Amino acid sequence: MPSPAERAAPLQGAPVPLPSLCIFGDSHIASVKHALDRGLLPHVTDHLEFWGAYGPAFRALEFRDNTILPGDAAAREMVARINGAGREALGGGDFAGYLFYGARLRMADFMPPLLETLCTGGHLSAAVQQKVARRFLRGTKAYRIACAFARATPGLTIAFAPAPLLTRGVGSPGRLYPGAEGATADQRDAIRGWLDREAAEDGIRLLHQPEETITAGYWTDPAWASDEAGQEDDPVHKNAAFAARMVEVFRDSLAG
Amino acid sequence: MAHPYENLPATAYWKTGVAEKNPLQLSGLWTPKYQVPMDAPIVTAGSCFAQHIGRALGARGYQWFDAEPAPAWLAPEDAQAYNYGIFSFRTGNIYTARTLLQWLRLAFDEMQDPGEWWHHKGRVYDPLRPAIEPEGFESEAEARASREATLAAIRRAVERAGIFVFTLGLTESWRNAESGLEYAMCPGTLAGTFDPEVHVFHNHRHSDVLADMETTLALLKVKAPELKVLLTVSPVPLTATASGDHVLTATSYSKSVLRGVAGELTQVHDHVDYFPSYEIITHPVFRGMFYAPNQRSVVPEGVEVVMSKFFADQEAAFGPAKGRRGKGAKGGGKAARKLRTAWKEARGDEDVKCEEEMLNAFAR
Repeated sequence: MPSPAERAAPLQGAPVPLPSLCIFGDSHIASVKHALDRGLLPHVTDHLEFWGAYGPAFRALEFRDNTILPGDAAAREMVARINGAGREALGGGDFAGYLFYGARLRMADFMPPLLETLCTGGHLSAAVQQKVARRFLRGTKAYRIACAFARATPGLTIAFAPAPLLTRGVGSPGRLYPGAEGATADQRDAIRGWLDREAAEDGIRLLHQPEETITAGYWTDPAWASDEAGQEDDPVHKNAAFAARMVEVFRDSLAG
Repeated sequence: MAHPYENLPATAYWKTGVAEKNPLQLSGLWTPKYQVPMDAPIVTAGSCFAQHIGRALGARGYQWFDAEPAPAWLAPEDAQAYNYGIFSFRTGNIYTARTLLQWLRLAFDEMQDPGEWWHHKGRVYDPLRPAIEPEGFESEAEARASREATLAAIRRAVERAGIFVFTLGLTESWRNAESGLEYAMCPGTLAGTFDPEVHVFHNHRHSDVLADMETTLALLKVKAPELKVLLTVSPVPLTATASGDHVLTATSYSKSVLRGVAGELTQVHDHVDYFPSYEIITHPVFRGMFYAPNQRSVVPEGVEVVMSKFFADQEAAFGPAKGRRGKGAKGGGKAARKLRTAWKEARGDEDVKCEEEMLNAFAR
């Protein structure tokens, strides 16, 4: 397997970089920043900005007139620190592309219980697949914002990388879905397909966690766990190499 | 000279057991054969009245067993529309003894699937449960896969359950003349196309129902030797009859046959009991007070009275319910929601982690 740095090297036939890209999200965008700082990111844009917040401040972000705004002083201060370019509000037409990263759309909440259903003899009709996918996606504020951006500016590049599966053996999550530990790549692909069909209707490109980062059915392989100081027991966040890999997935999606 | 009618309990005499009592204060209508423990998985199936029993058991903390729970992320209103959590598996209503037997035989590979599917406006319907998907299935393959999941759920339910509650509903049915497959509903009413050359009416006789139920009990005994069976008869009259009789007399025939079979099975089998929800709703003593103005639908107060008598008679016979109080529905519904909550708790305090993560990355 090539190292992250090798993978980050420019590829022949790679898509033309976007003139500008905003990576919007919650605490998960920190790993993208780490990847950027370490030179791991592939070249996907000529102008990159981060915009977002974490914790209660993320929940305090408001959406009005196709623009995301900090809803209180704490959120304003945090957005300013994360963006670092003085962009106090994020408009749907400010960038050529938007990558929603994490942003409370948690694949760890969606995929494991549905894999458990599939792995224990259950079946979802296409109609039910559509309903569960729609409820998961449209129940998340950031996803609804992404949809609004897409509606407001047809042709805009909008991708959404949901927060990845929890990391196996890190922190306290137990084996709550024992049946799903035997899930196959085909079963995971099937569930991703349900989401992709719905997202396509909304003009959103979903970026899925690559198979090589998944282990034991519904866990992220610990090799991709966050390696930042103080994050040793954190099953949620991932390391810079993982973020670089996800941006590669984004780059590949730009190629169509 | 003494005779057997001397010194009987008050409930044995009409005067003291019924006539002198307010009907709502009638007691001892059921002397249960066995205790229903709170921690025994209870499976419910049958005609529409059976769903009230499952719901009431779950609400009281009994382990109503949902063997085919709604998938995660399906909204409660959609779960209901798609017939999840109504019975212990997604069969929809099972009105006759024959259709129960068919489901069990299909589940345990004792019957070959005739491979009949109904088509309407490009959608596919399962003749054994035509209302299970409101818009039908998108293909026969999907309908077949869904049926297989339900058959697996039936196997799971039978093998894990402590008590199987079945509500007998009807004697009238429609069958395929060639295959003998008995449908859940008359073709053409909800789905399918009625063909008088293929679809034949059958009004089960007492001997038919008894034979089908005996075969069912024998099958259950093989698959789950410890399983107890609790029968009830739906008090809901027929919506319509194809027998040629008046719907009122057709209802009397149907319910009388079913009640008779239930009584006979209870006499013959130690592990089979009958709970008189039918009498509680229909008997003239109750003056029809539990029916809606259409004299057919049972009002919620009626269900409440039925189930309160169920629990009261259990307690009168065995004392307070034993066993660890369950969490209501087992296998799905509330249990699934609790599992998801546990999962969210287990992933830790994300806000705290977020803060640490952000501070690391964007610290100046």
